[in-house]
Amino acid sequence: MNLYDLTLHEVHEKILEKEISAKDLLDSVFDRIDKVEDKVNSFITITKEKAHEAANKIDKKIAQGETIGSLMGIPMAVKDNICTKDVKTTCGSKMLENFIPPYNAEAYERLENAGAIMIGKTNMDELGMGSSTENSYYKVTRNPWNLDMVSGGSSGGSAAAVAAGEAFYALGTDTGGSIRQPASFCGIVGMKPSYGAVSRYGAVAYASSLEQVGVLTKDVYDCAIILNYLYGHDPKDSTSLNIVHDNFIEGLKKDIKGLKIGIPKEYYGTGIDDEVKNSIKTALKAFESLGAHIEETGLAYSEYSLPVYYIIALSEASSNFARLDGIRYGYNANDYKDLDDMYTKSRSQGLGEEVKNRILLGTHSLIDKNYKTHYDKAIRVRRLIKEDFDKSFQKYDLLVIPAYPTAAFEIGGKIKDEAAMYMGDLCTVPVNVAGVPAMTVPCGYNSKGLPIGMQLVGKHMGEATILRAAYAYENNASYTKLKPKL
Amino acid sequence: MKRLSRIGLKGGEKMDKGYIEYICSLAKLEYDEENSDRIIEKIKAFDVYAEKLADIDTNDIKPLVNVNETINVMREDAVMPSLERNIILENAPEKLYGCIKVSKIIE
Repeated sequence: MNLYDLTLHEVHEKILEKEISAKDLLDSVFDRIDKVEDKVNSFITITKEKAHEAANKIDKKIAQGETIGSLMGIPMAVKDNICTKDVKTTCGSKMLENFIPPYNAEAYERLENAGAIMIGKTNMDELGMGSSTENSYYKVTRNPWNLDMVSGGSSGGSAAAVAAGEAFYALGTDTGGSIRQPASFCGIVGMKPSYGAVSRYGAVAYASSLEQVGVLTKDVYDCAIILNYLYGHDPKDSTSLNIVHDNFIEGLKKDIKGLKIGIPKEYYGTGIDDEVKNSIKTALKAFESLGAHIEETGLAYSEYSLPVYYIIALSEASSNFARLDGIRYGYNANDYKDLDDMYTKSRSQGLGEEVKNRILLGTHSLIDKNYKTHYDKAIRVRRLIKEDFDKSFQKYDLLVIPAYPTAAFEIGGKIKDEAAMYMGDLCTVPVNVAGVPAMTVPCGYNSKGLPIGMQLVGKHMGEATILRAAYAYENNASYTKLKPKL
Repeated sequence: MKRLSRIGLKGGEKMDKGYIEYICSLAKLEYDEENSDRIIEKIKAFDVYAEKLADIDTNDIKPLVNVNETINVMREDAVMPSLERNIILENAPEKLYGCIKVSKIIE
């Protein structure tokens, strides 16, 4: 068994027992990167030297008898839209090709303070806009399970890095499924936290009211460990909630007898692949055998989530990305007549087509004559969608839905089936509109050997229940877990 | 497209190249005549999508901008640590005399 194949908590045990050092772990991970990174393309920037310096410091601390925390000395990766001090943060965009943040995002800082060793910044769709990582200015990340397939997106680099053994876990961001869908495609666990649970300070905002920083891990236990570090109030983020969170490890091993699971029928309609439905059906049997009650339910406003999501996301993007003006940082066109021309040329040359299109649609939604029918309408319907979820969670502890209608699709292939494309959005975006937490848990493979994932959706700040159910399932799942052959 | 009038484009206004030029200027993006038909199609499709929301009566529904309905966060008016000027300037494409350089905006 190679070290890079182990989970975060397994290698932590080895560090505790002094079987291995932080340097051993780093060597194992960088050997792995040398072997597979050319095929997978998980990273935009690799920070080998910094990682070695950090590992040396950690090994010295351990030698001096310092208490060894769960993350100490363990290599991890960070999505390239999460600011890292003195390390390029490009957001997958030409616009930020040379942007070096002078500070850390709070989420990353908490992990770094706990002794995490960052080994690099992962590839992503430009500024988070996309669901395949094909929309990165730099490269296309390939799926470690089949290099002809996409890794998902926008946190595709983070998902591929973890699945390929290039990092023990990775930070991602999720605006409309950007952690959960790539986690599903790459056969790993991905958590989108409750809105306000994790600081967004230093995470480059695309749609501020929808997105959260979250984590992609090899298993549920690892996810619980990291959430304990990430959660908690940050005065630097006005949307960060000032409430005490559960210790996610403590509740993990409790049973799930009597847990009420709702299956919203709208999420299992035409467009959802039969193999996905069957895998989830088998998973639900496992939940039943553990004492959970399963019941079909409905979320009446589901179909409205999509227009609501797109109008809000693109309106917020058009406003947020006004800051990409080529003055304080970022790409600056050299040849211009005046200030206005400089803005226009810098943005037009620095941003990719998809981003520009989305900014235009957002601008269209916000202009005076469309405001009432678009943005204002969407934020009113948003309340109904949130209330729909709230009502559902009065009755159920969890909802189970597909993470995506299919397994990973081909690079350059796009999804041709319109129903599947529609369901793809439907599976992921309502969770962001309602601000509730959701986790992708692997639940099998399709006939081509590609991973399939399901989502456990909980009530706001109901992460402990999601983790408990996911942990129980993971330890009782009937399928044989495999690793990608690279 | 016949219901477009309900969602923005009022009598006499057209979703045409002039409109695309207008929103490009608002978004500070170059208007590309060749590309404008494609953008028009995208906006029309987006509007049909948005039109779906007209089915729901929201007159008595309050807007929900943020799910946690956060209020303004206040703190003591005290000096807090902040980044040094030279560090901030490192990312600026153009700088002069310890400032970020911008084009003249007053004629």
